[in-house]
Amino acid sequence: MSKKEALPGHETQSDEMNCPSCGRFVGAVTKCPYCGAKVSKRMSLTATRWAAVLLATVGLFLLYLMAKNREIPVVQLGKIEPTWNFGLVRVEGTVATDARPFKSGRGMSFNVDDGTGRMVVFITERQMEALKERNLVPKAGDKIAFDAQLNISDDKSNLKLSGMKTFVLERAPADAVRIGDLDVKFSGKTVTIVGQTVALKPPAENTNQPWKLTLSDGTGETEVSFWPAEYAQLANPAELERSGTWVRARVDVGKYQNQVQLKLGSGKDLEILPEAPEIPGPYLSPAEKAAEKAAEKVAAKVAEKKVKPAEAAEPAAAPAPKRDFSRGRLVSAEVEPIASVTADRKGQKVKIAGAVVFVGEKKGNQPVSVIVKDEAGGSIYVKYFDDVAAELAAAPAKGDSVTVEGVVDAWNGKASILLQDAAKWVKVGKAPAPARKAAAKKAPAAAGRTGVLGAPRDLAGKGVAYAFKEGDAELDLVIWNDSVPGLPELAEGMTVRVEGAREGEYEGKAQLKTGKFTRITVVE
Amino acid sequence: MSSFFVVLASVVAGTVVSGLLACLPGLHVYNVMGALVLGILSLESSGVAIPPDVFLPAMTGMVVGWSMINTIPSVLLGTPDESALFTVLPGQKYLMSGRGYEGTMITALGSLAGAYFLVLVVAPCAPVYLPVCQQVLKGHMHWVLWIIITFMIMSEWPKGGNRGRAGWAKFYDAWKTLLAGLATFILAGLLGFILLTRSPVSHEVAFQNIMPAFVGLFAVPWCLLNIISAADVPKQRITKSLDMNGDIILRSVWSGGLGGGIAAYFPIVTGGVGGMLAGHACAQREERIFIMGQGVSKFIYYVGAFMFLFVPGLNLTRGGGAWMVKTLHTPMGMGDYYMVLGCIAISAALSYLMMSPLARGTLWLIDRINYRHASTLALGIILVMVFAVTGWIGMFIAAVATGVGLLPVLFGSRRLNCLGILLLPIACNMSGFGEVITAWMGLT
Amino acid sequence: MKGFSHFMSGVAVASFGPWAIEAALRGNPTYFILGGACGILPDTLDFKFYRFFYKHDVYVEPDPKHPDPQAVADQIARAVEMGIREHRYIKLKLSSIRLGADFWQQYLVNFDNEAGEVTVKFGSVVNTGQVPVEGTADRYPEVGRAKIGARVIQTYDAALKVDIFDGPTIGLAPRDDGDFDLEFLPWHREWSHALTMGLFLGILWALACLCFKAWDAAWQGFVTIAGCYAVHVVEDQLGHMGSNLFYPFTRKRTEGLHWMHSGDGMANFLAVWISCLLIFWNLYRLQPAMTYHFTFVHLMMVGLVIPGAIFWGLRKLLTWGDGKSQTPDAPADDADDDWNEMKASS
Repeated sequence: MSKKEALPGHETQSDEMNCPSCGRFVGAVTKCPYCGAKVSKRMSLTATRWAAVLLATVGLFLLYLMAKNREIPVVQLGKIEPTWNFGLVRVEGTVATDARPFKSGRGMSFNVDDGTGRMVVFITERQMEALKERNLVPKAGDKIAFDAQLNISDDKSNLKLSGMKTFVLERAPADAVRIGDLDVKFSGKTVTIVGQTVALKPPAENTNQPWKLTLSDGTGETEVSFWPAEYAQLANPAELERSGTWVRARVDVGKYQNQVQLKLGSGKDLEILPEAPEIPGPYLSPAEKAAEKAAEKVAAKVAEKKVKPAEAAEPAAAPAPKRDFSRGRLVSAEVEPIASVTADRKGQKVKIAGAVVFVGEKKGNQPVSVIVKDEAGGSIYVKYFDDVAAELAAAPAKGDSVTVEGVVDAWNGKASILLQDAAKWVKVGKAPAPARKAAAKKAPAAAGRTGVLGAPRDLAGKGVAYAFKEGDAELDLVIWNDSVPGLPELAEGMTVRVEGAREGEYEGKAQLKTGKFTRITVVE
Repeated sequence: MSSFFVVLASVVAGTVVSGLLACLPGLHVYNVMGALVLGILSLESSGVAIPPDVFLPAMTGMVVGWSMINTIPSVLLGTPDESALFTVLPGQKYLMSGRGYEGTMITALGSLAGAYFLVLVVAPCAPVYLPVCQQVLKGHMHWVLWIIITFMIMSEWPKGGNRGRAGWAKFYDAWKTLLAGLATFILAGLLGFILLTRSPVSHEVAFQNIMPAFVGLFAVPWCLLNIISAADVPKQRITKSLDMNGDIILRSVWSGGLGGGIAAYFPIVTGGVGGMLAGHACAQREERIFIMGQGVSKFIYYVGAFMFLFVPGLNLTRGGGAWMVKTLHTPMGMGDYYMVLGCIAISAALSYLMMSPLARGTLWLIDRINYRHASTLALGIILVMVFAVTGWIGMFIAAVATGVGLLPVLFGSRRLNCLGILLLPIACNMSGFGEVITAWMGLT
Repeated sequence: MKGFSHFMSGVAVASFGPWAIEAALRGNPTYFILGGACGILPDTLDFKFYRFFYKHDVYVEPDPKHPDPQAVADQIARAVEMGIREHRYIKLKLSSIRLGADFWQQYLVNFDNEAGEVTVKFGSVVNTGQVPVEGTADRYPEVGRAKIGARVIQTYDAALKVDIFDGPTIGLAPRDDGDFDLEFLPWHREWSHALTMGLFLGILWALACLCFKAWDAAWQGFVTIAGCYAVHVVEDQLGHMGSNLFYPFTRKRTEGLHWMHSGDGMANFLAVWISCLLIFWNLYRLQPAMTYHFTFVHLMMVGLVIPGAIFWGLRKLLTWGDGKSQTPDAPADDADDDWNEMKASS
């Protein structure tokens, strides 16, 4: 085709697009499909093609080798920056909380503390199975080192375990204790016991009961419980059915109805011994052990006659202050009184501690609401959505003693806390049932209370509520119409004495509820 | 100063800055936002806190401005070389027939229509319906990615095999491009496994782990192609009318909204994949609808994904922009949501008003400055950015990724296959066997 | 229908198997992948494999430097003569004419049974989007004509337009009365779009699973493959071309129902969207611990009826009183839309 007849855009078309032999358009091929002639191409195109193939293959292989052999840096959790998000790091520290499986069973998590900070670590289902298989499920107190990928955002951070190859776990030393010395003071600890099998009782059919192995070491007899999953991990379960077999077991000590309960965490924690082992001596507490050690050192130094006994005692090392780091920013979190968490602090991150007094039901796409009350009497709603609920090890229950960290939200002047990270909901125990509350239900409080009235609020025409400031505490004094006999004229700023009012709570705020037995007198 | 004016000034500033930067080919808004995040964190560590009222609107303006104004280099500077590309997108066809300005403005109009759709339709419905979708789809995201991968691979048709007698030679001629596409996908996937599992990039800038690879897969080949391209851009005409009607706009919003929405909602699915799926689903033949739909799709993909972070009760983080915001701020309730929606609306309007002068300016420039030089400049800028953030390692990763990214361009397969860098490793991880593969590769 | 519609229909059919959803919740995407892949597999087998091995009797390859409509007409007539002489099925390939990276010379072939001839006219140069290049309509005003000795009956309304990428294949099937039936793309849906093919592939899968003693995977995979393959065949029967439904027991394509063209935009979109809604419904039914609850009717109202009504209403509003404003879809080609879709997808 002549240049004059060239199609639009073809006026400057390179000649190498056409076959040099027959002149037809062939494009980027190197052999003409019409006449079979060789079509040589512009050097840059050929070179680019080869460069691309080489880069894509050889270059990728080199990159792979580089990645495979790179050393993973050990980092300190307290120094992590947000720009490290998605980074692969190595963490060396101590397991802060036992690893707990997710509700779905598809993985587990635990907290790690390296002395500079603390962070939650997520483990996949496959890794969890591998850890169980190798009896490396992390427990509180274990020393640990692993590679993990960081996930950091403003409000929550976590680590995702990278692989099992470099996972190192050193079990926390478990004191060897005689069976006869076991009592409820060991609750929450892990100990090692030795004993002879007395009986192995299987679970009753069609029940969820555990296996029970009775052991005796001459100082006492006890029962160790374990589930079918742990039974399946036992090396030689038939040996346990014979009485008189010596075993060593690493068990977790719990408490139920003031009785000691021993649980076997893994079948691999039970070792069948070929012969009778040495029974440990009487148990010494860590303080007693430390004192004994210190005394031995003092005696040694005195014996060397180099120092006086008073100088031989070593000063106790002050523990390094730990910072609770559980997010991307280096912000310390201290527990605050709930009463100080007010609506004007909306958007701020706070940490509170208290007991769960109410757990709401999940409705539609609304968050779950829980009321937490602290020792000072302040209470607040803590809310969380489905994504947090899925990661909570156990659903909040009434009576749980918890520390909670979240962001202050406000609605209609009332503060609440939005929990955005399941790791920030830390159960510290079960609060003792408050005896006072039961008494309050049975009869009105007989004792009088004196306080200063704040601004009144109309209760839809059915009554009035006053803010009642009693010392540092503030609650609502609710007076329904015609409910209090001989009610004087009340106004803001008056100091009044209230007798016979019942204590209660409404929407997270403490209240004094008046009734026909209530007497209110103006003090000034 | 009142919060309202602070927000307004920030969103305007973000829009203007990103609008100007968007005219540079090859530069992605996430690169700029990444640098901004680094700057904010650096200031905070030296005691100067930037409040969310400043950086949130600015970042919103950047995402909105870029997603609309980036059309200019896409259409006006992305001239295909006919020895390397045998098919051209309609926007570039417009350019080659001297109607580049028209094509650009049609796409921008699509983005504006997308803004209306996002703010007036998606935004009110999202808090109500998206949590339901989240719950229904929980545990199913992995196979959604797998079927997208399956369709991407199976829907690529052979380009050769048009001549000659039946037989293996003809079959191989046809399958050359498909094999190149498969090779691209697999190589990109392997690259993704390496970078997502054990990236050689320093952990201190790990939040930009994947940036060098994306630059190499998409930006560098584009710039290189422009630089070595032999084609010249014909003289461009500035039209006064776009010859649009409501029906075209509506159908563009329908098809583009679907594509952009899929890309915004599903993880890892990018705008290109969403656009491909929507294009197949809606089967619109009219070229103007296709071009405008591209504008809608791109806008909803980038801005919609960003917006989802702020939907109360949803807690959905999609797209690089949202991830970067998340390192700085936790969205709180309706206040943040309304603020972002307002910023989207203002920024979209401002961006659209900037389109015409910027497009004309670009046309004026390419009349005087060879577009190859503009691409060279852009290439320089992005390489400097890669080096500044990730160092020599990042440059090496970009080089390797460039090799992979050039394969579809040079061998005639689809560039979408480069998305294997994220699709393949993440689909494997979501299905639970990613760690098996990385263990087998020796990476974990 | 378009490939994506078939694909999503396959995934939707797969979602009806509870085993697919249970497997997905355990991290196994196999059944959904099988569903989508089998949904699109019939066209894949034809367009990406079989057509490159399909042998033709006559290859019409016009010279791009000197396009001659008469030479083309003569070659086509030669093919018809071959059919008359040998009284057999003749496979004729009409090759495309490439002029540049983005330019193709279009030509039209018409069998004029009244005049007893075949005519060939070279039209415009078109780009890869099949849009004519301005000023090229009359480059070759001549019409090539060649007499043919028999009528060529086009029961399928295929327009023999040759432009981009691969040119079409025509089959000339001899009839008892001496005329020929023209079959467009005879290699398409010859065996690939058979219900029996889906059963066969399902059996292959089952046998492979049985080798590994995976009994459940065997029958579940069989049902998924056969079902999803069949849905493609059924959808194609709604069009014009039809398929050879029971190959190898039947030899010819059963004509379609002519309810739609495979390129119809609304039909394709509805197929995809309804598939998505059905998938959503099936996932919802088997999702444990749902806190949201809705009925199928509610889902359809919110997902389809109400948005559809709003869209329709808006469209009416925007095009009210001005019939020209309603931009018509580009007319669906009377030729096989699978063929055009393949070209457009390339």
